[in-house]
Amino acid sequence: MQSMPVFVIKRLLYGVLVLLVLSFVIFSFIRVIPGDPVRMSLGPTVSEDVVERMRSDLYFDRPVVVQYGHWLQGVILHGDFGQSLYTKRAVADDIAEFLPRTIELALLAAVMILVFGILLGTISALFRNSWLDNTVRLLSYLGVVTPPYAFAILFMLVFAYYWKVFPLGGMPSLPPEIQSTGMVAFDALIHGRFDLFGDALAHLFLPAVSLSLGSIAYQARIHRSSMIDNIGKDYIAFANVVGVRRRTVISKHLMKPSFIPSLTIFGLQVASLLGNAFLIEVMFRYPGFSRYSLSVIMAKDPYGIVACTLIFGVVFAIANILIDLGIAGLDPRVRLRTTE
Amino acid sequence: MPDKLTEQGRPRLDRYKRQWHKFASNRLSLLGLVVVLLLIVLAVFAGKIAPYPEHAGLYLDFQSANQGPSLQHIAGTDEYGRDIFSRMLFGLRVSLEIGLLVLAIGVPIGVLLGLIAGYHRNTWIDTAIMRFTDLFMAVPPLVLALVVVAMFTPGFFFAAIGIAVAWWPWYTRLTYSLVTSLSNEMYVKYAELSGAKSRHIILKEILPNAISPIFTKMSLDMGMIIIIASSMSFVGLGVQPPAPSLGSMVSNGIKFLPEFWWIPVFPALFVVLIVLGFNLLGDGLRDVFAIEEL
Amino acid sequence: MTEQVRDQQMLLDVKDLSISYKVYEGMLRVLQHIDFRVESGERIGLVGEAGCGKTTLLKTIAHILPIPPAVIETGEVWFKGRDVLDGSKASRRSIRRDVSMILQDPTASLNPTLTIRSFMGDILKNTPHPGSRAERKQRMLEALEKVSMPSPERVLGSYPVQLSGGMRQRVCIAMCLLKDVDLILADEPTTSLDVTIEKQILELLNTLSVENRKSMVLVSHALGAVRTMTDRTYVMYAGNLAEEGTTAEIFDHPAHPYTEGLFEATPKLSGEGVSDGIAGELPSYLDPPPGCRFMPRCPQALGVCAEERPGRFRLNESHSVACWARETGRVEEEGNP
Repeated sequence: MQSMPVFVIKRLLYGVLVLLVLSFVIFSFIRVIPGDPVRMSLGPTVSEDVVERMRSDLYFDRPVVVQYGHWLQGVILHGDFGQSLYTKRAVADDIAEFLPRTIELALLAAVMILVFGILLGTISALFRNSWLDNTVRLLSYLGVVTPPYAFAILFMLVFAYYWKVFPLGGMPSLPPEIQSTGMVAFDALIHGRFDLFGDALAHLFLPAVSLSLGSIAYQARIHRSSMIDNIGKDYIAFANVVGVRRRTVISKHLMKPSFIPSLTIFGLQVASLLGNAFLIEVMFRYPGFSRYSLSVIMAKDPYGIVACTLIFGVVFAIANILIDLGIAGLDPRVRLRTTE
Repeated sequence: MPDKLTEQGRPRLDRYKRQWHKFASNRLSLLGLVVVLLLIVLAVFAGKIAPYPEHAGLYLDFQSANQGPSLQHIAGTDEYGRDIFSRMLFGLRVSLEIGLLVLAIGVPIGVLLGLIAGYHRNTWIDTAIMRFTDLFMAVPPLVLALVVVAMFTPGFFFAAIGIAVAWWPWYTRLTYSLVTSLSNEMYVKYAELSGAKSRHIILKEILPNAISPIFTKMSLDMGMIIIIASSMSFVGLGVQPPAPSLGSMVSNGIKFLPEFWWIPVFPALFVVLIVLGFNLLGDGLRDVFAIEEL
Repeated sequence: MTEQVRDQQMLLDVKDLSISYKVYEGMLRVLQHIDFRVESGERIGLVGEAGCGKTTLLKTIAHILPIPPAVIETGEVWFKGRDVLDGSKASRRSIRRDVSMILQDPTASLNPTLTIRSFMGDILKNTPHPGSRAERKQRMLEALEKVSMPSPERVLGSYPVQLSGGMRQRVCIAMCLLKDVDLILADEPTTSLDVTIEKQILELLNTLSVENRKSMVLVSHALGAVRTMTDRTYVMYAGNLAEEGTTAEIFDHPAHPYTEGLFEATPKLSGEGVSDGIAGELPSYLDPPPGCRFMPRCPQALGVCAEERPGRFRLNESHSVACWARETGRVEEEGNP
């Protein structure tokens, strides 16, 4: 499909534009609110000269637009996101350390949502109104109304306290020699350190499950209703009557169009994943990017906050593009309508 | 031209009765309605119903601290000796208030923008508004809300503002798609042909038909908003202590697991109940109005 | 059962079929005591107003009626010696193998996410001799050529959204021809198409059914087409059979007041312009009156019409009508008071 690369590029450019505008808005807002972050960071005992000098180093004394331009230049040319007043080191270093861990967690949760959500939804739809369906529906409903932190508490109580199957929180750290991506389990795996891999996975498990359970439930519901909608469609009846094997009708003719609304919803799931990661990381003391972002937000750290917003925006945008690609791959009507 | 089942031509009262019948025929929807009404009553009369209303604020009684569920304290006491059940009721009130405030701010803005964009479809107004909406959807809602709160002061009011900022785009999108599809309906085209002004068309023809989906979305959203608000309190950027908030009750209580399990568990279960009620209600409404976009 | 040994000629025999739909307000009686026959090689026309149950009848035969909410109250559908409604896998397979149906809306009939080749491939893979990929492609091209499809190669690789309405309907017809079926059910194959395309499609169907000697049931509003393309015709009204007979008989000597009104209402080039149509509206299916359904609109209604459903009266050996006003010699009907 020749329109595909064009499609992707257009989306990417648009996403970049949106993020630029957003980052500028956040950037400016932070700087106009009252409060002196530099002073807060250095403490009351430090002399005013030192504070002034730091302020100047961090460009806080220039006009906002200049500051933004300087920051943007730093980001694009050197990958320099500025200095965090909270961790007192380069934000870029913070990102490099914490982001992969959250990506790992989010990826694991996302895969679980997609796989289990669609699986359960399919089973539910195919065995409609059976006990299986009703059980899944009931559990799904409960899953949808339960906030992730409630799941987290439940799992902590059951699996970490009573039955000490899983560790309570935290994450093993990667020895420097096998650091490739920064994702603990992944790096351990590709370097063949299966002991570390297992340990990392054990630490990942409860957080990932708490994160994903509610979304699995929601995804299952959506997929189920999507399949049920499509079962009644004329093209299924036609496929049946014109002689396609029943098994094929279900696995191909029914599944393919049912994925489309499912994938659309999956985009929203990713959004809530990224949001809920905040709480889960806090609860399980998981050293991830969300926990870092939270601290940075609470400390009103200027460079930190902008960087976090930007990073979340980028991750979200990439996820959305991938999902849109998936949908376009399934639905030719989307592909062929790209004459916007 | 009457058909087997028609609604046009029937008086409005009939239609409401019919919708109520359809709603009430689903026991789950009724359950949702009952739960929501019960919660509203509990919240409004929290001061009268709570056995220990003074525990809602600062209160210290270390002798009664950390006691399990009992007759005097249905949900036990927390580390300061405060009755958890009473605090839950006041926390419920706070949650409902935040939800209402978020909707009161976000829905009008979102719907208004959606109406304008939808009616001026394919003009620069449309594009400008929808792109503006995209801006606010670029980051996940909780993240945006947290950032907004960070720029001001954590607390009830700014938490609501933060969530409203993240929430209104969805209403714009919904209204926009409703306006677009409704504009293609015959009666709107007739109105245009007979020279009715655009404002009239929007208010008289389109809006009444858009109310049901918007309203349904609002009740479905209520649960989500309460979860987000409690999440914000959970991380300390929502309602601030000592004001009671279900989220902060849960997050505070986690360190008391597993011995004093009731401290986080009961508030968490209560949140589940609240969300369950609103979701059942919202689903029931969605079924009655047969809306697919939600 | 002696019934199982059917006449070799009798391809399809619908006996006393009554179907209702369960809706919120109650049960809609959509079909009442329908008797319908198709013999081998016959082409049958089915005529009637929108909503009179034609599609329901065809869907029941094709085994694609959604069973809840539909309920089969009475009746049997015999196809090639099997009761299609007995729920067995064998009957289902028999229908799938030997019956094809063209639905009203070609756009809705084609799965938007599959290419034509993919869809057709699935059909062919379920035939007794699927053959290799190349062989299948060949058969697909042949089928497309039979329906006079321009650039068949390109069509194979296309998605339904890339084809025009007329092309989509041709594709549906081509799909029906992929298997060697005995019976084709065509439910208003031209209703959603342009008038110019309509003519082409009808001619196509005509040619195909003649050339391939397949039995066909044609439901259409294009009465002219029904007249030229069918051997026998059934007229339905409000879920009941109004009249049946050879096409020539029906068109030249319509007996039922509804049929008369129907032909009257059809604009004719040679006539006096467009008539007023038949006064009145379709009756409610929820609580059908005990008598004849057409009575409220019938200019020749008698007293008995309000009280009792008319039986089938044989006018001559090729024509029977369900109307009290035409009562001559009654036909034996099973299960009807």
